[in-house]
Amino acid sequence: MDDAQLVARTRAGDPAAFEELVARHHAACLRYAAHLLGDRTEAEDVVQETWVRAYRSLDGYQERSQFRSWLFRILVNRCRTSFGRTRRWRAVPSGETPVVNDRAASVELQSQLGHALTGLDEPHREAFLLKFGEELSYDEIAHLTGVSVPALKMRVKRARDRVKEQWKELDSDGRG
Amino acid sequence: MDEDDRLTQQIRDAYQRPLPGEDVARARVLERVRREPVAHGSGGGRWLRVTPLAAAASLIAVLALGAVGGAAWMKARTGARAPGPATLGIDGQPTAVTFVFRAPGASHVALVGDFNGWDPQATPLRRAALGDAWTAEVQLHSGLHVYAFVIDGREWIPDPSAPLAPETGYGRRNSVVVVGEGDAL
Amino acid sequence: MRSAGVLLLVTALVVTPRAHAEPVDEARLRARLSPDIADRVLVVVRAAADQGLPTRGMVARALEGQSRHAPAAAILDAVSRQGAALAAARMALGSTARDAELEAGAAALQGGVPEDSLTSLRRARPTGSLVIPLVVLSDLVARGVPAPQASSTVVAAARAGAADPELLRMRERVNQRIIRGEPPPGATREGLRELLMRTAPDDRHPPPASAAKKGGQSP
Repeated sequence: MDDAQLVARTRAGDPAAFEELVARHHAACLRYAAHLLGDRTEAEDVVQETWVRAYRSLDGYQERSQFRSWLFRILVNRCRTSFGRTRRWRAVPSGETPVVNDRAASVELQSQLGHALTGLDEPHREAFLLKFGEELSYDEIAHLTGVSVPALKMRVKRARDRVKEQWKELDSDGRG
Repeated sequence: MDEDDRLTQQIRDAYQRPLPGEDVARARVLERVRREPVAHGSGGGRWLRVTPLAAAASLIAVLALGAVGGAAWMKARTGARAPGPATLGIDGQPTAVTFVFRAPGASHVALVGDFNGWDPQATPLRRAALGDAWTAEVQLHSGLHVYAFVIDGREWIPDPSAPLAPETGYGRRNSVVVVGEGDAL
Repeated sequence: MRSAGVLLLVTALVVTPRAHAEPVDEARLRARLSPDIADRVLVVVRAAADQGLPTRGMVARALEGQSRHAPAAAILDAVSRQGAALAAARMALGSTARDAELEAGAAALQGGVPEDSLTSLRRARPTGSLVIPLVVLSDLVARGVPAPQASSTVVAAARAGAADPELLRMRERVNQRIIRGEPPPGATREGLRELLMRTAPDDRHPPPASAAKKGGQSP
């Protein structure tokens, strides 16, 4: 049974259908939120909120779009709200990849990738994770985020270069 | 594959590696969504019916958690996240709270606390169909409730994931669950 | 707290037992405790009830003691200490404190938190529930954080306007660090630092006037 059929069954009152949707897509939601926010606890809160909103607004889902994209749109917005609410920024000179001054590598996400993402601000992190992690097309990411494709390509390139640089450093430090 | 591609693949693999405890987080999501009013289908009411598949999935989610001592499901977080006193405390309606405890090798697990007179016979946990997870659902009024688990009638253990209550004269630690208090998210 | 405890016990001893304990509680106590201990526990419980203190936790301590096969003296002591702690919590938190706040405050006091910490917490968050901050405070102390540091941490977090979910997240992060082997004081310092960095203005409870003057800075 595909996702659209599960949504239809949920709308018809079958809770098992919604539970199957959660089973299929929860892991992807959590890994995105955890890497974006850098905090496992906060990520679980945001993902839970995402699923509750998805459940409440299922009538707004249109079968011509992929359920996962529709769900991720909610998730990306929830993550943006949470990220903006709980971080402080310092001003950076234009032209540089903006740096987050929050030491976002949390107790929970002590992975090499978590550390490698530490230097990215939210817009770059978001673009990088959706493109490299979730392997979405630029058009899909543009639809989710509202950012133009050319801007996304620039962000992904800068983020990718930064992450690779950090990754190589961490590799040579023997971490991860 | 050149080095650039290799690095890209390494990063992608690292990202897509399953996060530990994802199954427990998923079980919590299901628990939360089940408390939503039924928004779909005919009739109203609450979505409290748990299908055997969903119940098994929830419990299997708890089972798969890595063995770091016992693992239990603390409702203090959920209580703090629940709608605030306006909907839980003031009208005096109790809230269903699920306690989950992982006890490898146990034959019997009981829940004791302020809400059942600390009687080890009052609230036995039910073992999941598979593995080491034990669960019980209790109706609790808003406020603080001190509790612990009793394993095989002899070992009293606090909930490893819950806030600790202070030692109150019996030389043992208990846990605290908070229902219907604090700010909602 | 000791003086409040003495006052409560003296009051209990001179007061003629009256039927003020909840009938259900009295029945449970008599069903589970020996007649002599039940009588003595009920005297203390009724004295607390007469002072308008919530007695549910006191009854629970007695029943817990019976379930744990504690000696009679230990049961009576636990109940008395709970009553004394509730009275002290009310003095520290104010007469408008709700039952759940008194219970949480009593727990903190019994864990070794000084009374003036509760007063400071009330000043740091003059409106809004103190239940979660007090639960977090008790938990930190129970995990080995020195009481003064635990108190100043939670007060600083409250003064910075941290909401309850943020306090609970801080508790979890500190707990995770301790489980990983970090000394509790250092784990708590890091937990507070992370919380203060993450708490943004629109997450805040309205800060008290004095914190606003200081710009909400942590100590």
